[in-house]
Amino acid sequence: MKPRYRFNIQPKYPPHQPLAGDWAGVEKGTGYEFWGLRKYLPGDSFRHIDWKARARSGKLYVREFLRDSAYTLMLLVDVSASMGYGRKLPLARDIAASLAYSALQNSNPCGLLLFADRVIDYQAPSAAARQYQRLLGMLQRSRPVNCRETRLQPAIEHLTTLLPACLGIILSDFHGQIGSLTGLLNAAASDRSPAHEMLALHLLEKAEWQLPRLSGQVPLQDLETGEDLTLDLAQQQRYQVAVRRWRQHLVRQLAGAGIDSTVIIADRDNVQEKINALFARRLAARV
Amino acid sequence: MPDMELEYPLALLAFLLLPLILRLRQRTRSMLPFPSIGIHLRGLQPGWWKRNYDSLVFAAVFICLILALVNPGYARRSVEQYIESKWIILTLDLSGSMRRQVDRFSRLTVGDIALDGLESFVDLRREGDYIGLVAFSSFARLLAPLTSDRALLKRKLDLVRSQNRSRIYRELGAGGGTNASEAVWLALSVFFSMLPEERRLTTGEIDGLRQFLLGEPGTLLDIPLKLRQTGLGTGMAVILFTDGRIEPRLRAHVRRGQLPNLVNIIALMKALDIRFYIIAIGGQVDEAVAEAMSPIAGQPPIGRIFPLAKGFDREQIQQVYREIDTLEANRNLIRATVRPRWTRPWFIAAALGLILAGMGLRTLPGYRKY
Repeated sequence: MKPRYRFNIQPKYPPHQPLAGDWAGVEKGTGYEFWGLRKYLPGDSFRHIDWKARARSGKLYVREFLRDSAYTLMLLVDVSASMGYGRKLPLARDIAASLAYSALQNSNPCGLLLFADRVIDYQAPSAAARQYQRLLGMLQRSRPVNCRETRLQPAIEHLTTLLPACLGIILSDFHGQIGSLTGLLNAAASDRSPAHEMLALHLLEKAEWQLPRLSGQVPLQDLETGEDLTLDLAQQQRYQVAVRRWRQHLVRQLAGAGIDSTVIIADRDNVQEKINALFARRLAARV
Repeated sequence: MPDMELEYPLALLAFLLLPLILRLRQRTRSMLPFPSIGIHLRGLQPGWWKRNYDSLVFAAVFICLILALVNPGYARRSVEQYIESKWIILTLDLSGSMRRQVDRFSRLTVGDIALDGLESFVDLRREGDYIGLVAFSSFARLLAPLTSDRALLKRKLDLVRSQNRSRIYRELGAGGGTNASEAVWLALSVFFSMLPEERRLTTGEIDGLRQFLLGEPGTLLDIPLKLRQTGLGTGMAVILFTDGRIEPRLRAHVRRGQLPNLVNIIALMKALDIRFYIIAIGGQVDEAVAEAMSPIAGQPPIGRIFPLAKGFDREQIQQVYREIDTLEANRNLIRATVRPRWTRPWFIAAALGLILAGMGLRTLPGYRKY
């Protein structure tokens, strides 16, 4: 089955994966990305001697390269009750399937983790030929879980425990506790680049982002906590301001843990552009 | 009726259901599922009144309907002055003795003179009085029930004038005797028939009274409770005009034992406070009757006996009726009535008004609920 979107996945930091791939890793080895020169040592291949440096200095130097590596894509999909509202879960399935397809097509391992208030299901990352079908089947079977809250922390902890490094993409509406993400920061492989590079996609329904143009009152019930609240539809402007402020607060909170994020509104046609722009923006920020 | 009364006070217990119904209503209210109601939306709730106006209207309608069911009532007293309306029945003796001519040169009979006197009495009474006519000889006939129609009464009186020779006149004349007690009992029966439906005497009660009247004087009188409560008798009077001997019962009928005793009738009238006037031509009144008519110490007299000489004229009889008219003068009375006022319609109207107001509010843009 062909994916709905085509994404150009570009990690911001070099991957730590020992497998060979299309991306320059962080360690020296066989690759195409030039790293530096060092003095010739006995046993070095003659093919790596930099003859121009020999001509300039009269000494033998050999060229060193960064080892080619592949990133491990880990998709963290929220399947809490709030994701059952509108077309958010189908959108999450489409985006996750498209991201997995893009990663696997370039032989990057890809895994899937479904979470709500806990880890619901987990598929270890793999670059095998059948991995895409496995992930697709797992996504198709996923249903909103009846839970009282959404917690990201158990999913992150699960991820950092099992995988030493990965590129994680969180697909969630972030209605719930983000919790402390210090574990993510502690797992940094080096000062230059974190071991777990995370991105967040805020998936929202149109009615969550903007109230319909009606007047009156509408009684609402929280899909997770069951709390009720009567909303005054006349205060549309205040609603939009409150929702944007709250979302900005979440974005800042995630950014504090090194997680870049963007808001995706369902029923809009710019999903592919927004996600690709996020990857490009992160890459540009690295430079 | 006390000042405040509840028709169904137990219905007040339904108020206990109100909190339960309000709670149930709130719980079963249809809610729109929403992903998250975070703290950022708390400030976007409508005001307290807008949020709860429908519950308040519902509670008010419920209270009104329960109060309509309870139906509180209060007493409304009204005092009015009115002129007493008298109910008088004139009983006229039309036995054979009343058919004698006044004098040799006139065709008028004594009965005609008596009828003239009656007509003058009818004219004397005020418009609001009710007058009935009973004619009797050996038996009694009701000529006219109690009515305020003077023309009708005069037409009925004309029926028994000697020159008209009507059928009823001929029938009464054939009787010959003077059965005054039966006539007075018939007059009392007319009063009883005017009682309201719910207080009207049953045949058993009437038969009980009749048995008392047929018995010997001094028998214990048992007046039905309905008559006591009705206050029958006030403002009522019977006028007996006869030229026969007023005896407790006619000797001719003693053997049959089916005639009421006049002394018992007078005792009954005393008990019911019905006034009784006897115009006796020739003044032949039995001692027992005269004694029964005499007042008991400390009590007002039941009436009066007017003895007239056999050779009475029109002026004398009219004078007697004028005296009776004076004795039976209409009094100015004050009537205080207490009428219960029930409030059920008000509460139903209030409930309907509140329902309409609630529906009207719901149509306003700010108050609309989805």
